[in-house]
Amino acid sequence: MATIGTVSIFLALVVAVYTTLAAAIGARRRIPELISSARNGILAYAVLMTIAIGVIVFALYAHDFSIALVANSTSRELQTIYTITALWSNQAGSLLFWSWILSLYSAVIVLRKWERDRDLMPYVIATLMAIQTFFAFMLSFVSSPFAHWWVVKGQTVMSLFPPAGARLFVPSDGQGLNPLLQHPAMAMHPPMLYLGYVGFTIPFAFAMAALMTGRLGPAWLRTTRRWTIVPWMFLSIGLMLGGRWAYDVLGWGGYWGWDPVENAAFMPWLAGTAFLHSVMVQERKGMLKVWNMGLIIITFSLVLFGTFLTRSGVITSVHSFTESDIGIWFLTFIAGVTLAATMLLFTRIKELKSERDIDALLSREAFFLLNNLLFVGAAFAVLWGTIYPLFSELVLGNKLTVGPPYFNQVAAPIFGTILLVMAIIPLIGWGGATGAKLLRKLALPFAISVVLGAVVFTLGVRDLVPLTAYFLALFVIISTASELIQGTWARAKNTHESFPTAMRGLIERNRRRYGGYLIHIGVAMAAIGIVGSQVYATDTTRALKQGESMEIRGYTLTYESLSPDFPSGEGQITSAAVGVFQNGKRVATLSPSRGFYPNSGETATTPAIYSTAQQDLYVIIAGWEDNFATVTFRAYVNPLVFWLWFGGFFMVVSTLIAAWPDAREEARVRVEGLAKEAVRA
Amino acid sequence: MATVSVPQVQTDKGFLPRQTKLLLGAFVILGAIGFIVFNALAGNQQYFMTLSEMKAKGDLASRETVRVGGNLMANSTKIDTRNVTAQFTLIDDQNNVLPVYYKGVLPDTFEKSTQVIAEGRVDQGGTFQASLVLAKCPSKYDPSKIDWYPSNQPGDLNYQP
Amino acid sequence: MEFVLAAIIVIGIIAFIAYPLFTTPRAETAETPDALDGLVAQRDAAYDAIRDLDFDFQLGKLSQSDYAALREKYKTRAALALQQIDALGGNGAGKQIEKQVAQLRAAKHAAPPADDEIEREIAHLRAGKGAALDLRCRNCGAPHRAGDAFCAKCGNKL
Repeated sequence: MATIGTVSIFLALVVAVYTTLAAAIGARRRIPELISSARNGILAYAVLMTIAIGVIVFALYAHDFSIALVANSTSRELQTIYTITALWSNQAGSLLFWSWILSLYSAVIVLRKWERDRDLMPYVIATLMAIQTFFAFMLSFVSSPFAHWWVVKGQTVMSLFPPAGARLFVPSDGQGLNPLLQHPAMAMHPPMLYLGYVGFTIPFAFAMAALMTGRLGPAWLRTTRRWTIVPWMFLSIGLMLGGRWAYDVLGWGGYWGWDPVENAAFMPWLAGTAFLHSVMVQERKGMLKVWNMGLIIITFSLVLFGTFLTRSGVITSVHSFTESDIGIWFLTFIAGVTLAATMLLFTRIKELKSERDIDALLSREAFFLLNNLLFVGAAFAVLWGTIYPLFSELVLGNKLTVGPPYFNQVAAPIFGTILLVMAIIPLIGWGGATGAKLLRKLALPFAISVVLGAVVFTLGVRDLVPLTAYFLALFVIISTASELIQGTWARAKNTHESFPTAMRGLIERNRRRYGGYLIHIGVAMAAIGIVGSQVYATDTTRALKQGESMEIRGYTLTYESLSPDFPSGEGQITSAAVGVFQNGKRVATLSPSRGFYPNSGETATTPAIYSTAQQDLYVIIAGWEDNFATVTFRAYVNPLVFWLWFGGFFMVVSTLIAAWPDAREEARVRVEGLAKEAVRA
Repeated sequence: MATVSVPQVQTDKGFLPRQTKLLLGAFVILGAIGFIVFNALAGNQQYFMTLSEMKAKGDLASRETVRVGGNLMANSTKIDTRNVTAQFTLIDDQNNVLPVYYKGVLPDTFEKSTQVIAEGRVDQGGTFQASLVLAKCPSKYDPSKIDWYPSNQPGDLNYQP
Repeated sequence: MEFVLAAIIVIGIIAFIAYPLFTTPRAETAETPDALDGLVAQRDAAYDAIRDLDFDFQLGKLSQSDYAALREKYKTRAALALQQIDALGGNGAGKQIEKQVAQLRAAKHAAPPADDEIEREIAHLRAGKGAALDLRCRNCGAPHRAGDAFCAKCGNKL
């Protein structure tokens, strides 16, 4: 069975090379047969990757330990769902997954109607398949998912083809999955992240096609608009799931550590957010053409860099589950892609003149520019902090680390300013705003926010930084909500609809704008959750015998009973029942646990969480004596964390609203088609 | 495509053309961000050293908070679950040793880890007072470190009756 | 057995990719000029800008004078774009667009009356086909052509 998989991968490499050349030559020399063949090539690649994935998934499900991937990442006792998702827990599997997802995105791109982009599409195909050539090469020769374990001269060796004199080694059971990964959020986190990351390849390919064909007009932007917001949404989901997993599983009460692997996913998100905004300026005003090209190149480079950071473990990271030699290959690839793209940009730079200048400094365009500077600045700040240890060691000869204090210190002013911009932006129009009118519109939301800020102050928030942060987040919510409400009233007056219908009509009429406003509200809620939990979290640690209690912030926790050694999948779980009381009444029973995993020899501590809108009570087993007769519990109270997760959820739903196809868009496409026919006629 | 000039609505106010004001503003903002970054970096770096490097640097580790990495000496871990503290010893290939005292919960993977990183300072008694302990998991792809289950199925290639 | 399956896959894929090389492709329609794309986008952008402007004014974000000035500007842009589309197409392509847009709107859901109103205004503006739009110098009031940078009469920068 592995043979089919191996053959598929090697054939995929051949197909990738052929398709890249066929698309490029067919476009250059205007040979439509070649272009058609290339189109089939991209579909064929998707089929081959799907076959390879199918083979691996089947092998995982069937516990075929002759395949090293299966033996290294799963075991017989592992639950089925984690057996399958173990595919992306290891290096070869995650490369395969990356390539497969890109092939699916590419297939969708190619299967839709391309008349609008006929000139761009061959170059889009060529770019996508050139990238796939790299991955297919890695999967064939550097990190094959179908490698086996062999025994030669008493050593075990992992490779695709047997070394001389080796015999196949098939373990009777596998190494099992890292227990930290046996969690639903971790099962979904890589697919969401990859759907996000990998999705940014599509706008990149269109940008390259636009540069290569010289068709630098609005066509490439319009097509990529939807293909940018969908990956952005998945990347947002992936980041949220990663944070939630860390919170639920890692047991330190937090959800984000500014770890290089976390930063690796955050940087493309920051650059992608900037890009989403700046393309709107280009569509409206024909400005920022060079900037947008540069930005998508940066975003894609950050995507590749992020993949490299995660999978090569080059910067000491506790998240590093792997270590390998794909590092050098990846670095070369990233350097090559970035260099080629930048050179291409420079050859066309004269044709990317702005069509007009900015009309007014107090306008939405100007604020979008400001937004871009801030987001790109944030991406740079995170990047610099992440690679500085490497830079310092290589260039300055000092080995250093840069930890959360640096990142928190840079994040606060930058994201605070972003919040301020988000609060003002709904009240400024494109083209310009009258200063006096703007101030008047801002006055009421500002006043309400100040009042709420005062309330927050009386509730105990006395430090300037969190107080300001809360104020700004509330300002965003109130200002944006006021714009939504006023817009609905105005529309209702025009159309005589009821308030809810009018609001719905308002959003549908301009999804990008009003969906965007809703997303901003989600972000502000998440910001409130972050500030509360980062600044005001408290914890207490106490050793309790059964029946004893501890106190934290109004909660009484009583160690009530123990359930030892409950088998669950690969592990043996021991959990302690803790009764939670507030004002004498039981509000919850929590079961923090410790799991022992004999296959991998690891233990995992799992927290139990009682969550309300106001705060989370988070309890872990920190230690035990006398076979759990005495258990040391650590309890955290994290204020407002709920709003982080709810804000994230709100953001994602709002993104769906913003990106949903609508009738007006379709009408516009028809108008263009008609115009073109009229011209040709 | 012929360029079309459309009548300007707002004439440039002030003595600087709009474009220049814009570029100036952009520079100011980027400059501010750059300043924040370099300032924060300067104040928040920590040395990250091996045990021998720490020895070579004299008393740096007692003056500044540093990160030090080493291997866990077997059987050196003592945990006090009541007070939630731990003691262990780090050792390296040159047999440098460092006793560490940590107030907190050790990471789950601590016992099986290949490398341990501790952040903190050396006190007067020569013990490293750690405020943070990180453990690095053993690599799964190093064949010499993998314990395979022997097979009990006749016919399997690694069958051991 | 595996090898048979693998062989089938290889042959199937190669056939699928090679097939188009031996068949005649569908008739190709001519490439559309990039310029046209840009002009239609400009017209749409201007139109959107007017709609947003009307709404923003209603919400009190602009003073009367700023509103009027911006609106004139965008209407002119839309009309100019349509004129240039005409120039490309040579047979009233711009006019055709307007007609078909109006038909589309009527056929689809009822658009708010404001939209039709704007369309009419723009159509009115460009109705002077070939003739210069009613552009006047701010300083002295003399008419000028669309592409002019300075007033022919008083030398004012336009």
